[in-house]
Amino acid sequence: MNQFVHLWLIFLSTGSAMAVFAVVWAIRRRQFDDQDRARYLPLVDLPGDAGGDRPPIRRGASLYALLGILAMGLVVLAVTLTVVLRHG
Amino acid sequence: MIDFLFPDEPGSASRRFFMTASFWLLVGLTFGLLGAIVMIAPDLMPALAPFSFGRLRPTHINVLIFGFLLSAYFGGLLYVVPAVCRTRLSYERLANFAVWYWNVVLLSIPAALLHGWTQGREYAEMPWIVDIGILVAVAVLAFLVFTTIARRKENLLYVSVWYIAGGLIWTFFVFAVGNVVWNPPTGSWFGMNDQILMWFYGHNVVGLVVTPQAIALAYFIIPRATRTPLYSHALSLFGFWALIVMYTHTGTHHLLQAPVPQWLKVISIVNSIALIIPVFAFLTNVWLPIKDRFGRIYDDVGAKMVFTGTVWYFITCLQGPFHSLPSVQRVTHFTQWVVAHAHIALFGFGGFIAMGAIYFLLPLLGREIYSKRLANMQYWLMLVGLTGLFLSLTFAGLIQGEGWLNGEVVYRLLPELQRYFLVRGISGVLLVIGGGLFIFNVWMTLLRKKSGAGPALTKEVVTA
Ligand code: HEM
Ligand code: HEM
Repeated sequence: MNQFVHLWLIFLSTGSAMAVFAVVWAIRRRQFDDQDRARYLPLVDLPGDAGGDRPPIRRGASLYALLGILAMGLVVLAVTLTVVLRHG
Repeated sequence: MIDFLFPDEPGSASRRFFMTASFWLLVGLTFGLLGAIVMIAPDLMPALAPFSFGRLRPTHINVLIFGFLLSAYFGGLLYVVPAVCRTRLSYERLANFAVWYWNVVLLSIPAALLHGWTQGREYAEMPWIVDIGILVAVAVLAFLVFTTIARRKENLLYVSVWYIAGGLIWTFFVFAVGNVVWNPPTGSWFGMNDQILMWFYGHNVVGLVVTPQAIALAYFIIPRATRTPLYSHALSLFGFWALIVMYTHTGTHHLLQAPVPQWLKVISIVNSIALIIPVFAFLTNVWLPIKDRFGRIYDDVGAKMVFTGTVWYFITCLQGPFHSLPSVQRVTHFTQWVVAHAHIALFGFGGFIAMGAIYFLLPLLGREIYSKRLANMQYWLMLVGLTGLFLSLTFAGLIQGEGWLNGEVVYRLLPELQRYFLVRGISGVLLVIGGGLFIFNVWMTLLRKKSGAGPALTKEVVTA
């Protein structure tokens, strides 16, 4: 079974080689230089309103639903943890 | 004729991929519902082989992953990459050809699987010839993306482009290796090694095929909908690299109960927990900056769906590291608990972002949404449906896990699961109705050709 280690090493080295290639390419093409401008790339054609009108957080059904889903996720994890600990 | 089949108009291929996605969503959901009905009342199904669970299940899964999710992502990336690279898509006609070709490949998936022609490998059931068909499509898409990047007028690559390009390369290699395409008759390797390879593939389907494309769309849509830049672009790139490094080693967490070398299990568990890093790099980046502009998320039903997708992503990725722990899996593994995780992941995260992206991008592709009210109705139906699916399966899973550890016999446990399966079935009906509203809305939007708010980012692109 430990022959899998060979496959894993081949996979690791090809993957790393490709990643290194991409990083070197990116550095040489100055991809990491202007990170602050990059943040705005999806917005460049929109009228600028940085800091402008800030719609207040409306407490509509949507917000409550999303908060409810978050809470539900946490509760479900807690219930599962209780079951796990009972059998731990 | 050529212009109708393979138009050169910018955005046409994206729009047709979106029609494709909405169609296959409804088909896939219907198969899911049929599978759920088999589990409630097995006698209800006609005694025909294509209606057996063993054929419905893989058809359901593969139609949804390839037909719905990937089609939506293909349509989305064909818009997003040119938009942030400030150029035209390199070969629009080729992209339109890809739409037709992709639909033929997709058609062959249910045809083969319902016929019982399968390689019996999870997420890779399709026979060899279909695998090759999928690989060719991914290669064409990658070619379109890379040639578009090469012609970009904006030197800086936005994080979405990194995710899309990286994701496509991964999709190609992971799919080829995971399907063992060099062994056409069986599509498998041998023994336990094959299982490790299989789950290397299975996990990467969700982690390096679906996740990067969904994240790429969210990284484009949430800042744009709220007109707020990312928190930090460097952080987003860090998240990209962390995802690539860590996700690739987690596959074995599906095999913690199997005779796999211990070192591989340890690597997979450690990496599963470390995945919290890229997940939170992404979530902080899109959540933090919009905290006081949240109102704008409501105003656009597409953006609302995408944002909801990130909420499901959060829950999925809290569950993930948690059920990678062997002591947790003692309860949850081999139960419906994992199926619940799978649905909030692929549908809650991947699917909500896919549907939201379609609604958000259609106006940018020059078409006004047919009915926002229908879209909103669909949103609520699907949110309620998925919540029902999630809760019923999670609790069914806990009952199964408990029963197993207590040495309960199947005959006593099964009747207890019935009511949960019934809730799953009802939730499935809501989801199928939502899927019906979706296909109606998307097709009406595209068939009536009423121009929308106008191609925003593409305006410059179109005239370039
Ligand atoms: C932090 C990230 C995540 C971790 C650590 C994680 C971990 C896991 C683990 C350990 C399992 C197997 C559980 C078992 O069999 O007992 C699993 C199953 C699954 N996960 Fe995740 N997950 C993560 C995120 C995701 C995401 C983002 C998606 C989808 C986009 C996803 C989709 C799935 C699916 C579809 C399965 C079911 C596989 C099957 O048995 O058929 N997961 N996950
Ligand atoms: C876009 C939406 C959906 C996606 C992407 C999706 C995906 C999946 C995946 C990946 C699995 C394998 C899970 C695992 O083995 O852990 C699965 C299984 C299943 N899904 Fe879905 N699904 C969707 C919607 C639905 C709906 C609406 C229903 C109907 C109620 C449904 C019913 C089922 C059933 C019955 C199974 C088999 C579970 C088992 O083997 O025990 N799915 N689905």
